[in-house]
Amino acid sequence: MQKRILIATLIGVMAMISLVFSLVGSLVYSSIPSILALKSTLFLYYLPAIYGSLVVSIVAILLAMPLATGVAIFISEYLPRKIRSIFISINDLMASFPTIIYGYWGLYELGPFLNSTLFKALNTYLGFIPLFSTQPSTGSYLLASIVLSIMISPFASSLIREVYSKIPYIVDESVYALGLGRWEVIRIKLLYSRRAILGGMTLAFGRGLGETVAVDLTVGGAFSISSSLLSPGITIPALIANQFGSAFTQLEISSLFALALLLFIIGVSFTLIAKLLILRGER
Amino acid sequence: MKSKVIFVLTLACLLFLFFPFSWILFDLIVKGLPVILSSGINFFTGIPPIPGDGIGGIGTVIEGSLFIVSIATLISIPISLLTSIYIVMNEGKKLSRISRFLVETVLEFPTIIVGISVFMIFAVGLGLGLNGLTGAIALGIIMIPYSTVQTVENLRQAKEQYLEVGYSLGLTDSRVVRLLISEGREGVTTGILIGLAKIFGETAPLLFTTVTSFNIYLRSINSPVSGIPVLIFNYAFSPYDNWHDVAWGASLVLALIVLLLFILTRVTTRRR
Repeated sequence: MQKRILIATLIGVMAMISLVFSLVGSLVYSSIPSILALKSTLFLYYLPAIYGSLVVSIVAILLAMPLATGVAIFISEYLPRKIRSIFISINDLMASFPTIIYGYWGLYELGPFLNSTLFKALNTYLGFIPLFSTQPSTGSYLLASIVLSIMISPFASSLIREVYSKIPYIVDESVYALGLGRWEVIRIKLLYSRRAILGGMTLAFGRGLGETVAVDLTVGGAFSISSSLLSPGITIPALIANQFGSAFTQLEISSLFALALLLFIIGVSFTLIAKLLILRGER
Repeated sequence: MKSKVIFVLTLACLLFLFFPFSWILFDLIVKGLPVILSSGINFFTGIPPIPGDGIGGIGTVIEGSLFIVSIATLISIPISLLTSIYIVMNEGKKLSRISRFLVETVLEFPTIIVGISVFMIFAVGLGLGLNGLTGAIALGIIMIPYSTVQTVENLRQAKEQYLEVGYSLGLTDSRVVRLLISEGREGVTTGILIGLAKIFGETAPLLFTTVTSFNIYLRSINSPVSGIPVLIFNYAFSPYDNWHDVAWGASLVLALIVLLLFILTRVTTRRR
């Protein structure tokens, strides 16, 4: 390449790389004081947020996994080509829709509806199980998980669909030639795309962990740990969103950075696992 | 029999996923549209109401969103364009692979973390303070990977078609790059539009990089400025009914902006 162009583009690359490293650097640098001062009590104190983040993301993934896979199968197996592209468009629109709107709708529409129907029923009939042992409240782990699963399923689904629909038609034909039906076709194609499903779920889990406003609006904001999915809780991003602006002491700010660092490490390791181990060469 | 079961099951998944979204769109129209209509043009130019009294408008945050997003775009375009050209023109080289990988990983960074890091580096460290520019830097950083990933994808297609043709015609490198960009310009535009759609709806990165104020029009770079999503977020936590109404109207406006950008990306991709 000509020198001028090489240098110009290199400047762009360097700007990008230095931005990334300064972001990560500031995260580490700002969290050092609190980690040194508080050591493990820091994470012990913030356990409700760590617990909440994990619970909300895990439940969301458990809900999203069948949903995303089912939608991917239905779109690529049963829909005629013309209608398929419409549904793919809607799916992609859902994936890029502002998360604040999902959150606002979750708080004022879905929440009250579920509280008077599904959540109430869960508590009344399955209340003896610790998972559903509390009365429904305005916001809860489960509500946040459901809203989150609605938000991340389209993303995971399009990842799965991309791989699933690329499986050559000869696979379908071979299975049919053996005298087997569609059920077996789908089973075999699912086997082929299991890495995409796992990878999509891992990426979606990372996204779920980092989601802030939609979860903040629906999780209830209670700084406590409860075994019941119907009780209010808090997640790391939600806690940062609520506390960072009103944090007064250096230590408090630094602690929130340490939490952010923890979230970052968990999130990035999931992303790396997905990209390096699972999705390698899939797309 | 089994084939029927799987049909029903996957259809149920589709309905379960698409029903909530239809519900959201329905609510946006049923609850948002009357609010906008009741205030008329004032909704797009006016100032938000005081608690419990009327609807007013969201002119200040529309202005704020446009302002912050424009600066963010100006920040991110050169970096993402140059990075994509480097990645595409040097495929196979180590730095090209590293930057591509880095960009794809940054895309998954939680945006609230970008927000507080930008607060630390730019607002506190470099003394920029809390203003539209700091907010724009945060959104710009979030936009870079989205546009870059898309642009790389599209420039690569243009490269396959035109690189050898360009060189065989004896064009210089700078001419070839120019050819790439002009042939892949729709791809570049798509990249920018996808990035725009992403940052228009972002709330978290603005919370700690701007001074949240919904009642002041822009005077200078240092005036308090905020975006549409931040207004929805703050009003959601308020107890006032009229603020909730305003938030529905604002949600509809935001949804229409994102929908418009989304349709534009479809148009620019289809033309290729």
